[in-house]
Amino acid sequence: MQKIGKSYIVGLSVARKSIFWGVFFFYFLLIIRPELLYHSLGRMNSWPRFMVSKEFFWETICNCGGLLVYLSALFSLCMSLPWLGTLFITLIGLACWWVGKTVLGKSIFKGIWILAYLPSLSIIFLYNRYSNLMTELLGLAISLVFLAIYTKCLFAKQYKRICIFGGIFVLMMIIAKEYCIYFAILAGIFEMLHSKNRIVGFCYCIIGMIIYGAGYNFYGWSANFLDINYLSTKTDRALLYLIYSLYIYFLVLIGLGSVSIRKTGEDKKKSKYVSGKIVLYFCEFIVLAGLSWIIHNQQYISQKALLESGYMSWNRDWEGILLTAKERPPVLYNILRYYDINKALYETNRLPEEMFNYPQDKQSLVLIEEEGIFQEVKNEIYFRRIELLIELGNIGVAEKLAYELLVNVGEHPLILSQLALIHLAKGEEETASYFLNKYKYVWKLGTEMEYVGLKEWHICEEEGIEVLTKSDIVQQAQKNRYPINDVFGKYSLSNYYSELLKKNPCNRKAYDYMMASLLLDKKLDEFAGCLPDLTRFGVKQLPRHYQEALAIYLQSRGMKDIKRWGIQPEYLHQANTFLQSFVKCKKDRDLAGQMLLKDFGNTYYYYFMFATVGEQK
Amino acid sequence: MKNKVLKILFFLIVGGVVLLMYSCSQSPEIQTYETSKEAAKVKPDYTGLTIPPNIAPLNFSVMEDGEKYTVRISQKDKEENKIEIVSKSKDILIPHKQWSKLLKQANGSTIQYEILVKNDNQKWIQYQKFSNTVAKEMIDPYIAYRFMKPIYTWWKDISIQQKNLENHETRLLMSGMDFKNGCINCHSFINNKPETFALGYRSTHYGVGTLYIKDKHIEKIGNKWGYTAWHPSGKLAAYSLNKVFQFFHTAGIEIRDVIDLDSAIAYYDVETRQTETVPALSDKNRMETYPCWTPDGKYLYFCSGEILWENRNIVPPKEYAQVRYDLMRVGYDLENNCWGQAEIVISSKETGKSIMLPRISPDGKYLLFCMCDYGCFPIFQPSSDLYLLEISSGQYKHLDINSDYSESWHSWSSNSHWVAFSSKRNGGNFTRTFLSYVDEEGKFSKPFIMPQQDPSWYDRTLETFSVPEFITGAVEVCPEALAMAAMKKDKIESQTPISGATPKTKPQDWEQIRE
Repeated sequence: MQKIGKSYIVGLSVARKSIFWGVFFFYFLLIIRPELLYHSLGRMNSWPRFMVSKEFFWETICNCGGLLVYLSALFSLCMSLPWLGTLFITLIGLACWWVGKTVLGKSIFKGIWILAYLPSLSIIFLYNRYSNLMTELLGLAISLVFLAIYTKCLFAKQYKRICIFGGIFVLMMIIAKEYCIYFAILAGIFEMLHSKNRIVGFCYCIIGMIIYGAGYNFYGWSANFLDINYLSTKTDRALLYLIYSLYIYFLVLIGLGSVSIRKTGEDKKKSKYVSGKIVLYFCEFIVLAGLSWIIHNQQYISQKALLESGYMSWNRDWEGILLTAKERPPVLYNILRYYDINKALYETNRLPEEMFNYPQDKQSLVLIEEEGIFQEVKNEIYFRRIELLIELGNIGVAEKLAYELLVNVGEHPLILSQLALIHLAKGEEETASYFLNKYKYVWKLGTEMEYVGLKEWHICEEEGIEVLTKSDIVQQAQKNRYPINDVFGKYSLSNYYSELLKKNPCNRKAYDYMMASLLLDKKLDEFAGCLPDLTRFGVKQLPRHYQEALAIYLQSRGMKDIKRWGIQPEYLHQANTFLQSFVKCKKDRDLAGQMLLKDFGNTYYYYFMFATVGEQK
Repeated sequence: MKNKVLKILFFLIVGGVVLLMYSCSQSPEIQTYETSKEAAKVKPDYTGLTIPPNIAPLNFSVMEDGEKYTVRISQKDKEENKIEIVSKSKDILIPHKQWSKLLKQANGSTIQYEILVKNDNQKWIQYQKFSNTVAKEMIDPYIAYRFMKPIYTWWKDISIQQKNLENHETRLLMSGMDFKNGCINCHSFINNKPETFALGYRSTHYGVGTLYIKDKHIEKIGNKWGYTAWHPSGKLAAYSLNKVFQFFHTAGIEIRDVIDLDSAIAYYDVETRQTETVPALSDKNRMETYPCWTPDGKYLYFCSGEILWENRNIVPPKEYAQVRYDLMRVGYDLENNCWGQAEIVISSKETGKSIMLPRISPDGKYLLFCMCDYGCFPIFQPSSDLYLLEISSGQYKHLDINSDYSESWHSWSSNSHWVAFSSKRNGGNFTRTFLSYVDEEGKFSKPFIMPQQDPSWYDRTLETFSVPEFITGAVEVCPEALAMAAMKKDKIESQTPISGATPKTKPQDWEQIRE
């Protein structure tokens, strides 16, 4: 009976671990998606770029904590290959679990293995916020490894332990800078509760505190480290505090356990398997599942949607962007998603046909950032704005923004390629070569290479700058280039469209964006003035939204010169129907909006009547 | 016994490996080779130069395709101390000791470079030799410069570095990252000496100010000094107060531009810790900037331009491209603290260009300055070129060392025979430091880029080098001490007494933009 029970429990234990780590691995791979983490330029603000050069190695390694920075830069690259990134994070999670389990095994609470899983759950929780935690994770992993080494010496003499602690602490300071504080505190708690001379353990903690607490903005550091600023809701914070409270609880348990070991000497005895443990296992399983569910529900869906949208934009997956827009309409950080939607519509020649099928924001066309936006998101907006400006031909403004991004974010391959393109478009090959030379030293893997622009730069590495100069991307930028040496002040595209079109009347993007901008601004007089230019692009029939806007314009002018515009009668009829319905419920604007939404929600009539300029529909 | 055998075996293996490595490093005598009619292309261009006798090895890359490279460097017509480098890489790294010996031997004469390249057909090609002249006059061993990414609006990781020109070693003088991403600028030394100097800084956390360093003692002065010139006595520093703004162009090689809407010159008395000015340096209708003392301390040269706009808050004013500065000077008597009347030395009306950055050679013979089409910031003006004024005759000339791009921020060595300047000649965007020899007649030799250990380093470096200043030794104050001084609260409050002539200025409101 005893044997059957034992094997059953062992089997249950193995199954529990397998399930947990299987779920961990696939959750990270399929739900969090490391490629999205890597994709996010904004997140890479604090993401050190790895470079294949001796200089980078020595420059990084010679600083205090340089090894950790170097390793985190190196291992951050794993994220570009989804399976590798997932494997790496899973291994870190496993290492934390193993150390936790080993330590817990020495305590009287060794049955409560659930505590060993908590660090792994918090890893998932924080990655669900789409922050790059590589440095923190490696710092934690290194501290735990050294802690495990230190715990092996717990039965050595006091002076030896102090020497070992000192050595490890200095070593950790050199390789991991502030993360030595983890080690100091953990080792201190151990020592305090294990040794007869508890003051030593207390001193361990104090050493860590003094070195990194005093003279340092501890609150700022901890808030920054815990990513508290980024957790927007009270629930987020409460959950994070809960996890960290459990950590502290866990540490206290370890300490108490150690005391218990010292007193009872039970550490060498094997645990007995009793039938009651099955119930315990079951309870743990329930608790784990519950915690996992809570953590899953805390995922930043809007942030993920934003990253997905940007990622699909890299890969020119326009249909994917539009599908996501319908499934998960923009809620937070709208501007980039609105921009992606309009870009996807433009690239599939559907902007004037379908733009009002999707939520719109006037500012998204020119990518003017919202107030109070995070710096990381700002960086991403900057990056996309540079892309837009290059496509439109406004090279001068793009240059300014690209250099600002270079200073702010660092030598990211995308920024380097943008700067090279800008200088090639300006005919400055020598300057472009600096960026391309640097570009060769930056590691680029997996998803990054999917970015269409980068593929061409990769060719350049093999075949030289001359090939690149003749490439479509450079030729297009040169063709559309804004030639006039004006002085520009605050960033604005509105004045540039007409100049761009003067230089190159076939600049279709400038035309489409100008018309979209006029529609969003409800400037129908100007819109009507520019409409005849559409014939330049060989368009025979007016697109849907242009017809709708024209119908409103003609209604407002008493239907004069209808034939001149070539508007289809059905649009005039639609506009008429819309207006009649609107007039019926004119007194209650909200009711009118709800009533007309079903039939006219995707038309310009609806936008014109109900959208306040600058607000989303 | 067994251990002994193992030990002997170990030493034999190690010895064998060492011997093998040594033999591999020796170049086989090249018996047959073809001769090319052209000289090999080398990068950086270190051909036909006059070089200092104490310069670090001028490592270069041979820009010819090949499998193996042999470079022989020797004094012309002398085999003694000949250097031979055999390399599979294009990068030729010259051994430092041998190089120093050769330069010592060749002082005042010529060294020549012979380059042989083994091509894909296993044939050696000998290229035409090129040579460099080794000057008798030493260059100041250190150069301090501002090191940062090209800055448009934001800045990050700005530092002042000091490079030993004799051995490639680079040391940090001060880093902005040490005081919460502060900005550092306007480093100015007294008579090229590293012991006494001033450093300007600004920070969102610690405000703006100037650090005055004398013999490792650091004082924090509450005022922001602009372009600074130390009186040779070290008793006072003249500095500019600039109401400077940056703006941007939509096209052109350099889209950045800077304008002073107003400026004046003040001076700080080190002993009394007071700041003063005189009407000659703070005319309300003119903008005075870029002060520079003569070596005897009897004249202060500066640039002055007429204010063409009524409203001093519109950026840029319509007339920004019409602003041109004259070169002026004013007499000064240190003993009586007495200033003379300002007089024009070179008029912009005469030149049709804006005169900037006067720097007088320590022997007092020459004044090196920039002229550009308009404005006050030559580094952003591709038209900026270097000119040399012979002070005794008042004659000035355009220098041959100029390029199609901007030349600016020049500095004289303490013996007046070497000039360091910033140039954007490699494409127009990245500022690099170039060195040039000046002979007794004021003739400049072909400039060359400040050498680096890795010859391809510049090709992938996105940082710019700005405001190079020669110093006769290394600054020994540690960077952390300077950062701590910038962060501390105690500072010397010295009111800027400019009123009436030019509206009283508030330096903390004036965003100082420098590259």
